[in-house]
Amino acid sequence: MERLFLKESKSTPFVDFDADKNILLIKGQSYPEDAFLFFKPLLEWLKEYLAGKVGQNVWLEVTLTYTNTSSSKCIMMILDLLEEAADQGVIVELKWICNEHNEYEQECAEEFKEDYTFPFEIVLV
Amino acid sequence: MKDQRSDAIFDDEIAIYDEAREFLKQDSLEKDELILKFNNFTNNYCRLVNTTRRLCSISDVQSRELKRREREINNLLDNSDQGFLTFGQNLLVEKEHSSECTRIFNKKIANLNIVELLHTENEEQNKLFAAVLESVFNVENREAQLSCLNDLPNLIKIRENYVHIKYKIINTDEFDENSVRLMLILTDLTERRKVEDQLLFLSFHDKLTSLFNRAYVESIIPQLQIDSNLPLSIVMADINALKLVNDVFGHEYGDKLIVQAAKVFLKCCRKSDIIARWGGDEFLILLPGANQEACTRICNNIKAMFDALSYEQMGLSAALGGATMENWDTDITSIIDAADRIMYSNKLIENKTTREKIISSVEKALQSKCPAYIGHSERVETIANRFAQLLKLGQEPQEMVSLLARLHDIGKVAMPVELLNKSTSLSENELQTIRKYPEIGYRMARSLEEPVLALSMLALREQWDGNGYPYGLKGDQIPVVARIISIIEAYDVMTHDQPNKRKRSHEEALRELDRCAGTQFDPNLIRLFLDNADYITNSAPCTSDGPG
Repeated sequence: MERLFLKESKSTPFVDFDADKNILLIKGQSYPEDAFLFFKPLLEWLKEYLAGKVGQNVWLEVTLTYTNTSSSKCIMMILDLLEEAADQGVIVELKWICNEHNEYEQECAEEFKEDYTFPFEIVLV
Repeated sequence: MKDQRSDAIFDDEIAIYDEAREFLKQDSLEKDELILKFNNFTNNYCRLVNTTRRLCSISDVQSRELKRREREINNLLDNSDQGFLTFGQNLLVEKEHSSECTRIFNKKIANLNIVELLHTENEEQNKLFAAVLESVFNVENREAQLSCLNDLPNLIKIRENYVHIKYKIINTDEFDENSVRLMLILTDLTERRKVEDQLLFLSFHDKLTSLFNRAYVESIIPQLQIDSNLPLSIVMADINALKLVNDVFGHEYGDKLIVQAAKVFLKCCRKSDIIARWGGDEFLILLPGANQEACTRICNNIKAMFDALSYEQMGLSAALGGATMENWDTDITSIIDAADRIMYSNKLIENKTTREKIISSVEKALQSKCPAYIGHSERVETIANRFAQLLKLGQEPQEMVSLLARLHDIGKVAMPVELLNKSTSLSENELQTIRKYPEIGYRMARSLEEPVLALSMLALREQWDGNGYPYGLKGDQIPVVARIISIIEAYDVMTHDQPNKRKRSHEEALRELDRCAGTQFDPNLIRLFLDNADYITNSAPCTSDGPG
C-alpha cells in the first residue's frame, strides 16, 4: 500500500503513514478551514490499511499542539477506526506525545483517550 | 483532567437517551425491524452525545490556553516599554500592536496610515517615508528591501518625543509568501536623552551654581588659544571665611553664599566671559579680549557688589587676583597660577579688613536677632578694659580681654531667635541648646585664626568650683581672660533688662557677685572688682592697683 506523506502547512499537521513499517505519524497543529477535506484521505487510507492488518502490530504516534474543533472531531474518527480495528484483532498501540510543561496538552490528551480500550499511552516529553 | 461541569449541559440529551433505553427494556415490545433500527439509532445517538461532549471539553481547554497565551504575549509586549506595530502594503497599521504605540502617538492607531502617523515638520523626511514605505513592498528581493529601509531615519521626533525606530521585514505566515509585513519597533528615548543631556551638563557644570566647572575650563584651554581672544585676562576669586560660615551656620547656608557669589560674578562679567567654579570656595573667570585695565575694572565691580551685599550676606566677600596675557608666549596654566598667587597675596593684605567685616556682620546679625544685645558687648568691652588696666595684665592679655569682651557672645548668632528672646525660664532642652554657644564661638574664633581667644571663649561658662560647662574646669584651669569676662558679663546682664528678667540696681548686682565668689567666680577677681566697682563700672575713681 502506498505511503501517505503530507508536509506540514501553516494549519495542517505533518502526516506520515508508512504501511510497510506499520508506523503512522501525525505531528503539528490542525486548524484548516475545511478539516474534513484534509482528514478524508487519511480516514480512507486508514480504513483500507487497517482492513488488512488483523493479527499485526500497528503503531500510531500523535503530537498535536493545537486542533480546532472540526479537526478534533476528525481525530476522534481516526481513533474510532483504530478502536474498531482493535476489536477485529489488529494489535493497535498509540502514543500521544505531550509537552511535560504544558498542562493543557495533557488535558486534551486525556479527553481524546476517554472511552477507547486499545493501548493509548500519554507520553510526556 | 476532565472537567465534570461540562456534563451538565448535555442533561437533556442524556434524559432523551435514558428514556429511549427504558422504552427498549419493555418486555411487551415486539422485536420487529423498526425496534431494531430504533435500538441502533439510540446507540448512535449516545455516541454522538458523547463525542459532542468530549469535543466541547477539548475546545474549552484549547480556548482557555489560547486566551492565556494571548494575555502573556500582550503582557510582554505592553510592558516592554517599546512600541511594536506592523503594516502591509496598504500601509495601514494592523490591529495588534503594543500599548506603547498608543502612548507614543497619543491616539489609537489601528487602521491608520503609517506615513501619516510618522508625519513631522520635516518635509524632506515625510517625503522619504512616503517613498520608501510605498516602494519597499514592491521590491521582491529581501536584500533590496533592506537596502530601501536603510535610507530611513532611525531617530525622529514624534510630538515632543525623541523616538528611535527599528525596521524589520517579517512574514506573518511562514507558509505564505504574500504575508510580508513591515514591523516598526519604536523606543521612546526622550527620558534617556534628558538624562544624557543632564549628565553632559553636569560633566561640565557645577551642580550648585550652574556655572562651568574646572573640567570644562581645562577642556577648552586649547580652543582659547586663538589670537582673537588676546589680550586674555584671568581672575581667580576666593570667597572669604566660607569655612567659618559652614562651621557656624551649616553647609546649607554656606552653599547659599556660594550661589550668591556666583550671581555677583555673573552680574559683573560680560556675556563672552567664562565663569567657572574652580574648587570649593574658588572661582576662575576667563576674560577673553580684556586687557589689564578692563580686568581691573571688572574686579572693582565685583568688589563693589560684594560690599553692597556684605551686610545682608554675613560679610560675604572674596579675595581677587587678576593676571593678563598679551600673547601666546606664556601658557594659560601659568597665567592661572599667577592670578592665584596674586589672589592669595591680596587675601593676606585684606585679611584684617575682611576679618573686621565678618565680625561686624556677625555682631549685627546677633543684635538683629535679639535687640537686648545692642550695646551689651560695647559696655562689657569698656568695663573689661578698665578692669584689665587694674589687673596690669600686660599688652597682649589686655588686648585678649578686650577682644573676648567684644566677641564673647558671637556664638549666640547660631542660636534660635525664639530662645534668645524668650521671656520665661528655659526648659531643660532649651538650656541644652543654648549651652552650645561657647562651642560655636570657639569654632568661629578658630576660623578667624584666633586659637587663644577660642579657648577663652570655650571656657566662658566654666565656674570656679568646677560646676560649669562644657568641661567642668575649676580654679586656675579656667583661662584668666574667661574668668574676667564672665564676671563683667554677669554684672552687665544683671544691671540691664533681659527678655526674661528685670534689671537690678548696681548695689544688688555687686551683692550677687559677692555671693557667688568662690563658687561661680574667681574670689580674688571678685574682691578686686567689688573694691573698685565704682571706677570699673564708671561710677567712681579707682581705689586699688590690682588684685589682692
